[in-house]
Amino acid sequence: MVFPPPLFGGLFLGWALGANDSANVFGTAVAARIVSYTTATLLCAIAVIAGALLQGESGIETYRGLAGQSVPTLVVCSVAAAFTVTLMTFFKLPISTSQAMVGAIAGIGLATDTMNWGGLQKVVICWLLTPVGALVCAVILYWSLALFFTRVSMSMLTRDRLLWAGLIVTGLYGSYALGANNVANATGIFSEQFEGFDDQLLCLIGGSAIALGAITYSYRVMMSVGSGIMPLDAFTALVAVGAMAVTVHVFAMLGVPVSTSQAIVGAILGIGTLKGVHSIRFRLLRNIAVGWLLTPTVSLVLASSGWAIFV
Amino acid sequence: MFQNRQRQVEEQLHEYRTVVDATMQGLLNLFRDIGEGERIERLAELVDVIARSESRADEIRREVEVLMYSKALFPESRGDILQMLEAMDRIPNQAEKIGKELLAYDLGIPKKLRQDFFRLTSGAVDCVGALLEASEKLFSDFTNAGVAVGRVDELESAVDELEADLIARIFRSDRADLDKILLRDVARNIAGICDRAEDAGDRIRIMVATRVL
Repeated sequence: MVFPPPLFGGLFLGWALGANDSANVFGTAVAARIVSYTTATLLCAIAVIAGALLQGESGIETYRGLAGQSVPTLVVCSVAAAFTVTLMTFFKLPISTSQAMVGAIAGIGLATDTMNWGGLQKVVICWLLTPVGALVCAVILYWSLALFFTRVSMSMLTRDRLLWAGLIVTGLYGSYALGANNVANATGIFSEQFEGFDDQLLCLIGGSAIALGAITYSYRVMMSVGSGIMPLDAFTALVAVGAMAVTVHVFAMLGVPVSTSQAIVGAILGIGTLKGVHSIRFRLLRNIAVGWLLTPTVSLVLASSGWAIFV
Repeated sequence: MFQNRQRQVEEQLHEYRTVVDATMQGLLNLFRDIGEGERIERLAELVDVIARSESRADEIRREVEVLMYSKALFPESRGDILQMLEAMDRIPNQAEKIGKELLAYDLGIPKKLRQDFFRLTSGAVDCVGALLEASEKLFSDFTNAGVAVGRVDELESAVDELEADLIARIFRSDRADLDKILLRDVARNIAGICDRAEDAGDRIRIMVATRVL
């Protein structure tokens, strides 16, 4: 069985995704030196692969059904998505690999007139619901955990210990959800394209690529995550990651790859509304909104132009 | 591992509180027992008790520091606990300073003022006791530690009034001017213990405030 060259594009995308998005899961804990970088990335890698293998297939099915693909369009899709991600990084706009990939698939779908509009509608609705869902989850989680931590008499150090355990558990769950939800971004478009490469194998390959990205290149993003939308302490990080994990996992079960970055933004906004909006950096939020609109649009235009020029 | 470290830290901080309390009790004993014309040996004995407690408090603080630097606990809590200990450590230091100054000046407390000095010291002991209770709450019911700190502030204000009354009485007495100044300094130093307790209380208040949800 020969490894198909177009799959290298998916591997690269998966690696970049792991390098960036693992920070959404373990970034705050690592930056605050609550969990060591090595422990965080190893736990993340294991859980990402588990998530991809156990629940990653439904996302792949969604991508397979979005538009008709052939080997040349696969290459165009991968390159367009990767180029969009690079462009967004260059302009320091928040990255959503899911939006870049779906934008590229939609570009091909439009160009080849094979677009599954129903499927695309479902994906876009899920994109809209991602930050909202995470916001609601964060508010509920914040209230519940705050009630527990204020009602139960405990030592300050016991509180620390519980938060530490909570960050590990939510980090693992978030990583699992990341693998389950986002593996389709790495290898989803290659489904049923190459002989011998079934969906389960594509999940393993994509999950491993994301895990590798987390292990090899996530340090800088993790360390800079603390300077995000608003400063997070251990408690708010626990709530944010927990809310993000639940949201992303729900969408993984629905088979729609969504952005963990947008989920975490929604969760942090939820916390911000409870703690007071003064702590939120609105300029960064504006950038997120711009990135949210630009990513799929740029990717769509690039993919359809690429198809028109090269295919 | 985390639990063992937590237990170790909590045990050491408990011992630290016991030692600070012993230092304050030593100071109270000193003002109860030392009158004018008392043998200097007796004064030295009482000061020695305070000095030994103060040294032990220093030792424990250093042990806690070492434990903290061996990566026990959250980084944020490490810093907070060390800052609180640093603030609290100024209390036994101050108690020792008072004892040593009395010894150095061979200063007896005039009979007419003994009761006032004892009351002032007793107020300081209560104030430090409230601080120790608040710091204990950090490790049993931390959300209520901030409330306990309120008691430190109340007692500090009460001691301030006692200090002002005592200084007025010192200067109305028929002592030599130098004695008056030295006695005033002793009164100020005793009240200074409560200022230090208040500072340490503020640290506790910050620790709670940054963790309150």
